Amino acid sequence: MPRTRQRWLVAAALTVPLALLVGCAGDGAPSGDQTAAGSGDSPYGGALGTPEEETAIQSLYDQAEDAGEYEITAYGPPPAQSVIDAFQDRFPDIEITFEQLQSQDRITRLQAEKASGNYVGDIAVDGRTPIIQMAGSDPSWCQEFQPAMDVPADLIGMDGRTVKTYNTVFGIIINTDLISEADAPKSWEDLIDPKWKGKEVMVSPAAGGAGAFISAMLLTPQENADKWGMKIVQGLKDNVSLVAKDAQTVSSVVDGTYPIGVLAYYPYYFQTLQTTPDAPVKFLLMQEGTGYSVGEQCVIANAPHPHAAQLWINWVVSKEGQAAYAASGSYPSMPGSPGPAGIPGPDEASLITLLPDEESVTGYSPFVKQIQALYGG
Amino acid sequence: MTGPTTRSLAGPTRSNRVSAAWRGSRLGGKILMALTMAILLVLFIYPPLLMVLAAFRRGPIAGQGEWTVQPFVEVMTSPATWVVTLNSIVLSVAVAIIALAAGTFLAWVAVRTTTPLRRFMTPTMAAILVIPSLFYGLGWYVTLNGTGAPVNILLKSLFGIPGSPLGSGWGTLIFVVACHVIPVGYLFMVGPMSRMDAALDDAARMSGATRGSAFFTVTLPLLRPTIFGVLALMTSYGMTAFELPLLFGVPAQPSILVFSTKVLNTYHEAVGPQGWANYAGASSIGLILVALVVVLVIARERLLANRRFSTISGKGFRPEPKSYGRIQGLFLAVFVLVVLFAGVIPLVQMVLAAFQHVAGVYSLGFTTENIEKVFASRRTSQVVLTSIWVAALSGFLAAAVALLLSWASQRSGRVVRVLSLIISWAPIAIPGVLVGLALLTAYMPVPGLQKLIGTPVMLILGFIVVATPIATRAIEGGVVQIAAELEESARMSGAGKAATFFTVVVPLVLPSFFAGWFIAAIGIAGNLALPVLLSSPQMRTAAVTAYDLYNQGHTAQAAALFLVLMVAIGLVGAAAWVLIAGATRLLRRVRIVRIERAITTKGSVVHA
Repeated sequence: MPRTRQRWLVAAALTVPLALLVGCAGDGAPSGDQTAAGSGDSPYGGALGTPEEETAIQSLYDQAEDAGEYEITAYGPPPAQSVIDAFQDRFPDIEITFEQLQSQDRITRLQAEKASGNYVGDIAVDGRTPIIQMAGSDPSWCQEFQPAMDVPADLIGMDGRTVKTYNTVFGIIINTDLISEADAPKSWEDLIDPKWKGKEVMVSPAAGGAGAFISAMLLTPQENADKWGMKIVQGLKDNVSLVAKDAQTVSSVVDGTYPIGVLAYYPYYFQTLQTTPDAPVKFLLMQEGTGYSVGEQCVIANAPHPHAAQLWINWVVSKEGQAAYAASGSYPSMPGSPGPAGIPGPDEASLITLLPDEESVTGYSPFVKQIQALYGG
Repeated sequence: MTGPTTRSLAGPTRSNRVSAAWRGSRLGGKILMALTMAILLVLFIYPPLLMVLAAFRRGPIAGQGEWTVQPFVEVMTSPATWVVTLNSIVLSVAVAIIALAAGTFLAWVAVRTTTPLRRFMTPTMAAILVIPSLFYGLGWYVTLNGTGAPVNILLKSLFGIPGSPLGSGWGTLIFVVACHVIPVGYLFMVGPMSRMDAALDDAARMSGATRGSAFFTVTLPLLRPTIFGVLALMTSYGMTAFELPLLFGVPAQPSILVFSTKVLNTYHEAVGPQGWANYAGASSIGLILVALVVVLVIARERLLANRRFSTISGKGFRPEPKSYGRIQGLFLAVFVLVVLFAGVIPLVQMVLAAFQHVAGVYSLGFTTENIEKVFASRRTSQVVLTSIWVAALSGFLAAAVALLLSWASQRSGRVVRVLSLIISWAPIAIPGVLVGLALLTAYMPVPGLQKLIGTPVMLILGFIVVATPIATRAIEGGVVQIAAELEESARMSGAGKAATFFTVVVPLVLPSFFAGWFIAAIGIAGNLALPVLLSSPQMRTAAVTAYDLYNQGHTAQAAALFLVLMVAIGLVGAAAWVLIAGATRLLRRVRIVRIERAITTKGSVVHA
């Protein structure tokens, strides 16, 4: 049941953006102004949401200012600078700073803050698993989310403490000077065809990260293992050349060292196209079972700037925030938000089934370990 | 008791039996020393000790929870643990030997020969050291990998060899890592080498030894304290190396995984129903490093025990260079090659990367956008300035602690000597990728220290702990070389202990001290493990910011930021060099004036 819900959630998050994406002319890049029309009574002219939602957000902003909360510290990987800039433009009195503290390091840091009484962190930003783990700790490291926006219940988890904010996909990137889209592999089975041996590049799973995690998704839950399992994992290992970092997968396909990049991280491809639109590369989703990561956030318990932190997460799920994320290469999670330009539409996307939220905290770990061991890690 | 007893009569006599060392100002000195040692023990020993204990406890944070040997057994019985350990030992030993041999040779060339450009060797090596290891590695990565890589274009056009044959593997890994640490080896060796009396070599030559045998039988043995220190340090470096093996070992077939990768992978495993980090497993692997460091230190102590290495003695002291004829051209060629491999090639690639749309991809052309973004960011000046002042201050303090430890270990009793030794080595036993975690979890329960978490003081404290072992290795060799009679002469002439230390020891050990300060500061400026966990967002350093950019795929922008940092360090370094040189000249003039005045007024220099 939870898996079904998960698929529904992702489908909802992807389908509606596609509909809007198709409706967008030209580059399809989202714009807050496009959504602002006809909302003259709203504090932000409809750029963020409905008048009621904008009033609630304005109230949060006022509360933050009244409390002297002019800064937010977020622990986790930062979004693109354009996302941060969009927030600062909207709320110029509040500055958000990201510290790239993830997973266990973040928890250790929070423990230290608790011991010292010197609280710094306001928001935790990360993938689904570590945020759920934080929220599920006893006592919880996350406090309850106060929605000013009309966030669907399915996006709020762990007793109202966590919010799903965006998704990022891992697909295939090809160099169109070396291989045509028609000839390119499009499924996991295609990728393990011996004819591609030495022509595919992938980030090494040996050192953990996305390579290990997405590979582990091929082994769990059971339905994934039945479809792909070790056959694909071993076949990939036999076929691919390895690089150390995700970004090198993209760059080594762009420069023509390899024609095919596997588990290519869409935002990196997107960044490349932003700076060099003529780069001879194309991003493809898998025909079935595209790997992806769910971005999740929570307001940290004892956050020194709780109102400002609530404001941030509400802005992230607002029209403007979701558009900003889409403009940096991520799929917004809120239904109705436009998706990123240039990516195959969600109707073409068959995303891989994920473990349910609570199960994901420990469920992937043994498989990640198995994958790392396979690659010598 | 009605009258005086034997015991009471013996009272005064008994009090006299208290040695002079435990009375009056000397007692105060000992209490001060004990207090200092206690503080240093908490700061330096507790973190590695906690990591040892953490190997046997499983809980929500390191060193807490129920006692168990399960993680230890799991790790020790895993073949992967021993594969990565062996890989790391091979890498460490190979790198240590190459870097030490090349560093020692070049130090000798700089100090003892008249090879052209020898005066530029030290500043050049120091400048090379400023290149952060991550971007040194990326520089070599794009030189050796990809269709546009210069080496591959050359190999294809000359020999028709396609692909990236030198892109990864053992040979490339050892070469790249060794080239990166040769300047460290040089800077460690050049101080002690320059303080050696050339008369010792001359004596060997006059006794019939050739130049070569004089070098190997006199010069090198006298440098043993420094050599063993550097050897041990570089071995531990090989065990904690992370980014370079990731770039050149992981893509190899089969992958070459090292110790740090395994530690990090294990740490990130979720264990138990709560999904706790596997601190115990990671710490268990760390025990291998602890054992290795203990073995190295014991070996060093046994090899150096009961031998004297003082090479700075009285009036005859003269470290004069000599001409070795045309072979000096070869010496120069070796220096130029080292500079090319360790500095110029990766640096040029990094500079190019800063101006590329996608780092290392020539086909997409060049842009100034990355530099513009760096200058446009309001945080750039803040992170660069923070990096510089934190590195300079922490590096100086680490060098000062290192000097005191080295001196105390030479001139104090057995207890202080052993404590100094342990303090100066202990932090090295913490796996590099866990050092921030170890310090944070260790200091968390300590009253006083816990209040400092998240403040600049805590960050500086952490840097001192991490950098002191490195600074000690650079300084201890210089201290060992100072003959005790120099200090004794000063004391007999009426100087106090402090005056002797500052007027005799410090000036003589100054080259090593500056080397230690510089190496420590550069290491701190590039440190990635500590700032994230120990500092606040307001104390963000440029290295961490650039590393974050790199991890987010903005490698070219990260290269641009590092470039700005390097230029800033270069400017500050040059300014500092000018100041130090000016101050040294001024002090020398003051000293000469004082001596002349003393001679003319009292007819003696004793009281000058």
